Amino acid sequence: MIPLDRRAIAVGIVIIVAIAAGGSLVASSSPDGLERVATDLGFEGRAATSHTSPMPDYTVAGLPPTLSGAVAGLVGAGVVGGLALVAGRLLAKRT
Amino acid sequence: MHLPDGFLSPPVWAALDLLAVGTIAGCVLRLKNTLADAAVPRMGMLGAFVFAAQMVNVPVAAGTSGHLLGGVLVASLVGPEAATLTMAAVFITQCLLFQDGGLLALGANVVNMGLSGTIGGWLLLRLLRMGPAWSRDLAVFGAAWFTVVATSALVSVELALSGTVPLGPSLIAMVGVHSVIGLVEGAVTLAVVRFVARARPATLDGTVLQVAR
Repeated sequence: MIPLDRRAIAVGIVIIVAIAAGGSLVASSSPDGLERVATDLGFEGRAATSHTSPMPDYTVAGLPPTLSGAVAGLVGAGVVGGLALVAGRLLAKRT
Repeated sequence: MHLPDGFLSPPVWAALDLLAVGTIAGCVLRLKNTLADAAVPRMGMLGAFVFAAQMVNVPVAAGTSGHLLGGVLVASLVGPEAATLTMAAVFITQCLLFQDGGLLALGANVVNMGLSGTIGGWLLLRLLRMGPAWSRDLAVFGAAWFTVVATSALVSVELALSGTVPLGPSLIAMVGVHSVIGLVEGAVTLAVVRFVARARPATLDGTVLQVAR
């Protein structure tokens, strides 16, 4: 089984880092489909918070807004990528 | 389309949590010692991509935005089981680190935005891919679009079962706005699948990444 081209992996990582770091700058702040419907139909008030997170709403406390979203994006992408890699590595066929 | 806590009633979120945990466990058992090495870097890359892409809300209509789900995309490149685990990593991270989606509703979000694509959308894609060669791109786009619309209908049903909002009006509103958001899903899914297909055409279908069981 041939792994992905090194070049394709490098290009992919550059694209992912660009989206993770810059995505929050260009993202629309309008409500998403579900939030919009919840507001229109009047049930948005039912939303409750049952836990706290270190970076709520993709913001890092103490950082200016532009930097905050980029840090959150990079940290999140790194954590998810790492989790998926570890899961895959643990399950991969023993050769 | 992340559900916060409070929108679903305890029986509904509990059932969806169980379904999510059971499906993830099933995928782990099916993949154990059979997952191809080549799928591992793809899982990491696609997981990171889906997380980053989900942060980028795209305006779709007056005062409304939408973002990628990604389930069909990941499943078409690594197969449904590995895609399910990859998508679960996305929602678990969003919930625990970024408070995006409720903790009790985590299973609901995994089922709605993950399994709908990695299993439902993937099966639909397999079906649509049986068509003539010229329709392959259309199949990818269509399966991704339909998954978003079906997911929005599923969320409406869950909200109705929870007694949060009557089915009729929420179904019309959710399906209406998500039939537009689904166009973004279709376009991004097709673009990434074509990008990976150019890099490694022989392994486009995720199933060939898994050794015979």
